[in-house]
Amino acid sequence: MSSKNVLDPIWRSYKTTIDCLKIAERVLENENISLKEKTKFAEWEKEEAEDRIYESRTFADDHVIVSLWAVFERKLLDYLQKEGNRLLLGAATNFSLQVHRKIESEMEYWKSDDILNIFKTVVDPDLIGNAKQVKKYRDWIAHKNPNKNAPSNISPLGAYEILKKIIMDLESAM
Amino acid sequence: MYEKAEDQVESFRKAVENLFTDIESWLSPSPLKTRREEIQINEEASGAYTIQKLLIEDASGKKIAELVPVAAFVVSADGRVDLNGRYDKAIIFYEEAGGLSLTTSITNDGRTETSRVSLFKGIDKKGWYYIGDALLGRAHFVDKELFFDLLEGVSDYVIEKRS
Repeated sequence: MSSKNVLDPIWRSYKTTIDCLKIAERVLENENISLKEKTKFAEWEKEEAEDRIYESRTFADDHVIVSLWAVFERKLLDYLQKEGNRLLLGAATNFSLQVHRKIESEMEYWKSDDILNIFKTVVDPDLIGNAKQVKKYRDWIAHKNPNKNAPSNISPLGAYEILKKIIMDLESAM
Repeated sequence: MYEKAEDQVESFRKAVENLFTDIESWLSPSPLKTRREEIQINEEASGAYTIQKLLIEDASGKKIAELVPVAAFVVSADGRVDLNGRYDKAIIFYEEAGGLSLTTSITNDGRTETSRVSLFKGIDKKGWYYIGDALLGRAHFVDKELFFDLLEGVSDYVIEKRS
């Protein structure tokens, strides 16, 4: 089983961003003017700077989930493509070629929930259910309709752990 | 999971009340003061409801941190409260029992063994948990010592720990 996961770079980048924001907040608290030179922080009053940091933290927390989902979904499609390519192995017939072509051309348009359902045979169905909830929350962040209340909440770490576990299980099974 | 959304909200309210009562008692010997304010949460499953948040202030009234209920309906948990400090945030989850458990299968020499394991280790009773480290995947029960550590982590405020 691979010890590296395609989601790890996104997670590391997010954690680094959070730490950078903590450092920025400490710079404001310590009123270290030289460190603010040649940045927007030099222009902002303290209160505005603090608001910008808070806003950035909220954005980072939300959008890491959007990023994790994008890479995760791509990985699922890669697995489906690999499975679809099996149709071309050995004595491929015209029929299997047609089926393969159909899958290849339409796979990108399949609904996420339908794609996830396919993987229930190799991944714990409870985990697949949780992934669907991650997707729902991701959609709510991405579209942010003020008239729609938030679906079941998921933290950045929760989303990372659920999606990472699915990829790890797929790498073991396939 | 409760059948009715209002039951889940009520359970969450009670869990938050118990958490805040514990924290108020842990902080009472310290110079820090606490006060509660009402907020509104809007969730798809329940609609709008009111609940309290807990502010933690120093003797001069400067805010050190606040505990803000975020949601009663949480994926693989039964509630979420954020401890927001000046420098960072710590997310704590309420778990009724066990947390998300998954089936894992290991195949050796053609034999497959299946077992149920928790996504996060360490959830062995009902209560509030902090999951700090993605690498270790361990949940830590929020007691007085951990809460003081979390408070320091998010705000740099150090509370002298006395036994």
